Amino acid sequence: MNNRNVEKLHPVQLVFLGFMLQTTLVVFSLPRQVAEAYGTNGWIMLFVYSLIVTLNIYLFQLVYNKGSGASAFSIMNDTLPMVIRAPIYIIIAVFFTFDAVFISKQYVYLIQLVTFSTTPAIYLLCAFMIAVLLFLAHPVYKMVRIAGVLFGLAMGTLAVTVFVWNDFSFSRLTPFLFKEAAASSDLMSKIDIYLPFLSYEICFFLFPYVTAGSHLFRSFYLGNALTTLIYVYTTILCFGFYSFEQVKHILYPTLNVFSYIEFPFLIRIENLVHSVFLVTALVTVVFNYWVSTSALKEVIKVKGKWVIPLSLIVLSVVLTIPYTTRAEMEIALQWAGRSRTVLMFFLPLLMLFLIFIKKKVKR
Amino acid sequence: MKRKSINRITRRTKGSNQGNQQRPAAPADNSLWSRTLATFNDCSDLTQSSLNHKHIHFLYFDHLLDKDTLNREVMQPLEEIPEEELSSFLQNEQFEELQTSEDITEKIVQGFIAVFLEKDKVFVTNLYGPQTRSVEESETESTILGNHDAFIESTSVNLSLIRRRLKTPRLKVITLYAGEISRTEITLTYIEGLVDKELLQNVKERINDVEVDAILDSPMFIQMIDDAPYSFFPQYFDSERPDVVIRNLCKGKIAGFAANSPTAFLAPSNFFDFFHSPDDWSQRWAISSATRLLRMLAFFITLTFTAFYVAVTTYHYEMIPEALIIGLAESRNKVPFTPLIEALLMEITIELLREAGARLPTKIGQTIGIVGGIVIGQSAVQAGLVSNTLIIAVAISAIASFVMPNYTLSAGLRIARFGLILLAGALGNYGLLLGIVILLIHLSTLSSLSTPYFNPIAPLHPRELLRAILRPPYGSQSMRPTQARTHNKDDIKSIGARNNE
Repeated sequence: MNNRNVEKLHPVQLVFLGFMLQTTLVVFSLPRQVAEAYGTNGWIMLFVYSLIVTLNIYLFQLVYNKGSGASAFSIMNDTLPMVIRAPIYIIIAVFFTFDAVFISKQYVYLIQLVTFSTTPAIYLLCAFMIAVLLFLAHPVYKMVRIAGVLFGLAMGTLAVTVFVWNDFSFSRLTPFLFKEAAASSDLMSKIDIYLPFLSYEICFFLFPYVTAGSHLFRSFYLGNALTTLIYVYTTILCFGFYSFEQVKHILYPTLNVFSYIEFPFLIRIENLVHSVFLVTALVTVVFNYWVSTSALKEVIKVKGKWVIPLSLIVLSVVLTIPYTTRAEMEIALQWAGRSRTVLMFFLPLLMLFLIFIKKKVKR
Repeated sequence: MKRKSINRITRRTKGSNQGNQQRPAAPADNSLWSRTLATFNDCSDLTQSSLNHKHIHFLYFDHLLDKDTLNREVMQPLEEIPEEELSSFLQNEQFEELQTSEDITEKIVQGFIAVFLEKDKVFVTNLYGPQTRSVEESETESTILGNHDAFIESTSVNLSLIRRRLKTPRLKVITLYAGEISRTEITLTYIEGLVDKELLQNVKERINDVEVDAILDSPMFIQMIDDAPYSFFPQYFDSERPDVVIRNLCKGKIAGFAANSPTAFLAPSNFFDFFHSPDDWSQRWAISSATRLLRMLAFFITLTFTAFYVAVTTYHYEMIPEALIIGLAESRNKVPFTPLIEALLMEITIELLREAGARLPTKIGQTIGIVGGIVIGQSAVQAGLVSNTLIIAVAISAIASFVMPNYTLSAGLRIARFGLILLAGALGNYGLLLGIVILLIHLSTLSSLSTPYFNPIAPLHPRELLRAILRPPYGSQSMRPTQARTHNKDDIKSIGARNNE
């Protein structure tokens, strides 16, 4: 194949990708979660979470620099025997697959809750998975390009919130820090605020597709900064739009904000907004499946391009059929996210250790 | 001036008036003349003539030749010169000597005349010049301001329309052939120094790889060199206007013509090229920019408006303001169908009217408009088959589709619109957005001559995007777009420098 036809990943596209991976539907419920976990002015804590993400990305950067750009898979392939590395690949595939299917189901349950209360979720999920499959069918540089286009759709929708600025009042904010958190707030609920920031770790698997000119880490730092900015913006907007007690009691405060926007021909645009936010869920889900597929390809050699992704999608949908309520989904997502957070700190440390061993053996 | 009479015998080949009774003639002898004639057996339009006293014979298709040139450059000189000078006359550079009957037949079908000396020594010369229509205004790309001449079915006239506007030896022309039976000439033009050599090579390879019996025109041919033949989006921009071709040649693109086609194709092209009209460059920048934005809006309307109507009236009534919903409910009150069926009914009717209007002569076409607009539209509402609001939605969608300057893109969108209507009918806004996302995935991954089709959105080039959506004033345009991968990015300065060289 002609090399000039293979596009290198562009820094701007990677910033958009970083944003699209991190920003999910949680943006609709985040103000409530922050209000419950930290109380008044809880949005300040979002910067702390953002710093933790930055630290984690820095760990990936260390792996990239120490390993001279070698991918996680190639470092493990070079240092670990198949018996040890195969379970690691399978664990990665399982984690990312279940995260993908849980995010899909979370989105589908939102759609079901708001519009299609009598339609079985599996139909909505199947329609979503068709889009996932069509997205996943392309090489990674094209997938990143698609994410960039969908970024425009998501940002355009968020820009509509300027119409509620008139109803925003600073008088609803308070100078008190972290007061009146929900009685149910505990350490775990505070940790869970980190989960909406996840999926930046996909950058760890993009090493083979970038060049020095792609500025992978700088792009993901910027993507994380943009996500933080949007999270902080929506949280402050909700804190200044509703009273503090209201925020704690509305399931999707950000989505509700949209219902107050009225155009001459159109009202209740939240019906359109939650559909548009399909794009953020889609990008995250697709890249999660992509990591799973890449991990499994290291273990199983299959010729067909569709076999692994299709099997993963079908298997994950079938295995998660028992999860039928939104509450079950959220608990599942919490546990998937928590374990993934641990994995994503453990994996770069393992890589650094392996690189260290490899260098020592060489010497 | 009195023309000299030429003493020659001209006749059609055997079988001209014999119909089915014609039998294949076996070569009388093994001479080149006999073998060539045998190849053209049953070709009643082949003309044989001879100057008997000089033992010269001619073979040609008189409808492919320019008859004045034939008389002036071949018949008259051969008649007049003495027999001993005949050989030296035929050694002139306009004549080429051929040795095999295969070569001779190939030249004759291309519009050459074959001159046989003693039936075994053969010279050919190109006298191609069939009747063509004169240069006229394009019917599909008419403009208010600017040039009005358009390409015709003659490649030489088309090249002349380009050359007379681009007076530079850097304008290069390559001729290739495609079509196993038709052996159609495919002419590629480009500006040396601006074109990307790799892309040029890529087009040549694609043309050489085409394996079909016949190529009849450019719009047909470009589908054979597409990157994604199953896509319903056109991947090469086509135009009948020399000014459009030249503007794109100056961007480093390659223009191509299939022989006997008034349409040129431009490679590579991107999605936004299809929103540009030649008028944009003649109007002041502000009005051109506003018109381009209007076209973008029209694209969005034609694609989603009916589908959105279906989604809202089926699943999301709460999205309609109170002032409107009463009227909408009243107009839908009598309709016995679901919004999806109602919309499909009306969209299919519009498509029928559109297709009927396109196939009928203009005078009858107007009747179709009246029948469609007044009789069907009004009666359908009165009969309670469709609602007033839907008629408005469908009519706006149809009008918006006519705003697209490129017919091929507009036709592709009609298919996509039906897909979105079905998805909206099944899953409301969720289905509509799912459809739009799938469409965006398709557009983002499509390529034209291996370059991104959705450039400058994906990959993102903000300045170029601005120039694609708006038409900036002339002074502010300084760089060539990235689509054609030209190495000479500096726009106006370099052209000026070259002109001064």
